[in-house]
Amino acid sequence: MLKKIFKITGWEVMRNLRNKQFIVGIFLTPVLILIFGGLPNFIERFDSPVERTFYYQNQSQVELDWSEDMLENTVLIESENSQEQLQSRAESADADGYFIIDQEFFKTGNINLNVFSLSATNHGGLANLLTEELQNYKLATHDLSEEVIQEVTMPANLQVVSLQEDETAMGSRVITAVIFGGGLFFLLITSGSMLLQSALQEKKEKMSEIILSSISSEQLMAGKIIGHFILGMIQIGVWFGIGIPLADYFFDLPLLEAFLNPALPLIAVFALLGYLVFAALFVGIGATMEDLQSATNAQSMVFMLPVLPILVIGPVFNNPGGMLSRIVTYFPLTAPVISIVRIAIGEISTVEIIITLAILLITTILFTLAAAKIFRIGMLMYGKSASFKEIIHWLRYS
Amino acid sequence: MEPILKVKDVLKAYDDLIAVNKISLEVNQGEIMGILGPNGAGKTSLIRMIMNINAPDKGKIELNLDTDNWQSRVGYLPEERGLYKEAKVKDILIFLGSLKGLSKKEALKEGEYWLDKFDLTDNLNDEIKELSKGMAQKVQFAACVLHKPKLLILDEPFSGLDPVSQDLMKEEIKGLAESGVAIMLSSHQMNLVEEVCDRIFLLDKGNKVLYDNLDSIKNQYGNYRARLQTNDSNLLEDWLNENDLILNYNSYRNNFNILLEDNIEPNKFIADLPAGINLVELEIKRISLHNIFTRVARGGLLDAKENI
Repeated sequence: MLKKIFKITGWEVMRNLRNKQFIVGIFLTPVLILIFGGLPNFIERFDSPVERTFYYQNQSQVELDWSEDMLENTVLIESENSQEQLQSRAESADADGYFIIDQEFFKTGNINLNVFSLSATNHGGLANLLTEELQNYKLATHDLSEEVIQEVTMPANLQVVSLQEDETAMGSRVITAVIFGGGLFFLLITSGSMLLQSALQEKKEKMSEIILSSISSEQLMAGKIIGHFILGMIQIGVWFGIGIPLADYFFDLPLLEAFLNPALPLIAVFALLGYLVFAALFVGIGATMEDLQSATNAQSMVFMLPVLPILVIGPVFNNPGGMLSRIVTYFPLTAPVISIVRIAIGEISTVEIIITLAILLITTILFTLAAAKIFRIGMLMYGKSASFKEIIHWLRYS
Repeated sequence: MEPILKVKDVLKAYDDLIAVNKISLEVNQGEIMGILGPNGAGKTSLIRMIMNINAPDKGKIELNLDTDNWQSRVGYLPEERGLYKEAKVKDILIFLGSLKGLSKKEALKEGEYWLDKFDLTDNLNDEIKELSKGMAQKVQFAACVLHKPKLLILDEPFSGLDPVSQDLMKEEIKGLAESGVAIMLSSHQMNLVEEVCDRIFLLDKGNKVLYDNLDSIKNQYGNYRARLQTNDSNLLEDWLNENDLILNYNSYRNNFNILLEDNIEPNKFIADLPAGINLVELEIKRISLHNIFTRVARGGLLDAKENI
């Protein structure tokens, strides 16, 4: 029994490892992820912030006493010229605009910032600088001493003190969650689709009946599921092998630490159950289809199921112990990825882990039994994709 | 000697459709049994039950193969067959041989033996997609016999082969039977079935129609047919219209196609021909299995006698 399963496993693994498309895919996928995910961030490093230059003229008779340290990436140049000359000078110097401080400003606080382009909207704290100058002027006109003025204008200094743990430990947990949650997500996407393709290929190349004359459909299905799990692990192993040193080098992310997480065995159990649930789903659906083009709406929907955790991953990261996180932890199709994320972050109770494991175990058994029924009939059906009604019929009567 | 395969009252239904209706048959060692029937007759359902791919609703299938691992002693060439296009001939033979319990070395040795028979030795390292359809079919055949089965089930083994390859395949099948392999062969190509099969099982709508050896079937249902060309058409036509040896005939110019009545032997027919008739050509033989098959498939056995 097991010997024949492993023969199928060996065949699936070797056949794919010799396949150029698979090999190229292993190396191309992380490159694409880097391009679409990391490249903008990488380029941003070389993109220095835009520096703004404004000319100004003080017509107010008030001596300005401001510290330009408050400004970020903004340069102020004082000019003695008339207003018309100020504009032409600023324009010829390729500055972003100019402003005039007059007596009206110190009365009403109103001031015009004349800009040559509306894109020059980031003024790098210019408004705060002028506000401070205005407030200082107003306070000084009330004969307040310098000490009093400083006392009155003392800014609040808000410092965030975490009661949880130090930032590095939390960062490490998030990295663990991303690595293993993301790893499982990619395993489900890649191995799941490869498994489906494999079932389709067996039918397309009319090999299923020849193979089923030597082994049972359950053995064939099990061999394929194990084979594609191994292929998926090889794929992810290569990605981690390349990605972890690169992330460490370019982004200073200590990803390797994630593998020292004591919850790793538990994470592995969730990953395995998650894979089995989706593998049964994909191999079963693959057996009902003639080819990808003839997939029905219901069949196409199945391709979307591994993406479900991604739809809720944001709220789960923001509040790992919240109601939504708990609900999606118990839902079998989101449970594997979400549980792994919550385990890695450390925001899941033992009771939740036990209940989720039980749900996943039952789902795995049910899905595998259903897939075996569908697979047995579907693999011998040629020329058309099965309708939803037919699939239900197979499940009920086979 | 015990038959290699015994099928006893096997029934298989899909909802209201009875695909195989209480069929019983046996295949003996060294025998070639032809399973015939029109599309939808239940041939593939029967074969899939024998191969344990589908389970019968009722009845029993027994294999006398002296082993617990029955699949290692049965070879199967399904009608819907193919090979992994991207795989090499050698790898496929080793893989399929290994599923039948052969070691890599044994599978390769036997595979090379069969490839040599089919003149495909040079293609051992080719990918399947590089082979012609006929070559690929020979590889499929090699893959289903390389483990030296005691029972070989061939579903439409001649389809897609050119006449030369058909002859080659026919000889190999006969050779396997002579070496003691029990063979069950399903085919629509009646002329080839006639040439290779010892016994025939004719199915129609899941029911047994005929089950006997080929000669008995022809004796039972196969009247003689005479094909005759003459310069005395009028003389012959008058004789045919008055003669009670003749069941039916048709003619075109000087050519006559004549179906003799039951139990009328060729000698009797020749002796009774009109005296002095000028014959250009005369051929007398039993009606073909094809005629029996098509008539039975169309409307039952009684109609078969009318067919010429």
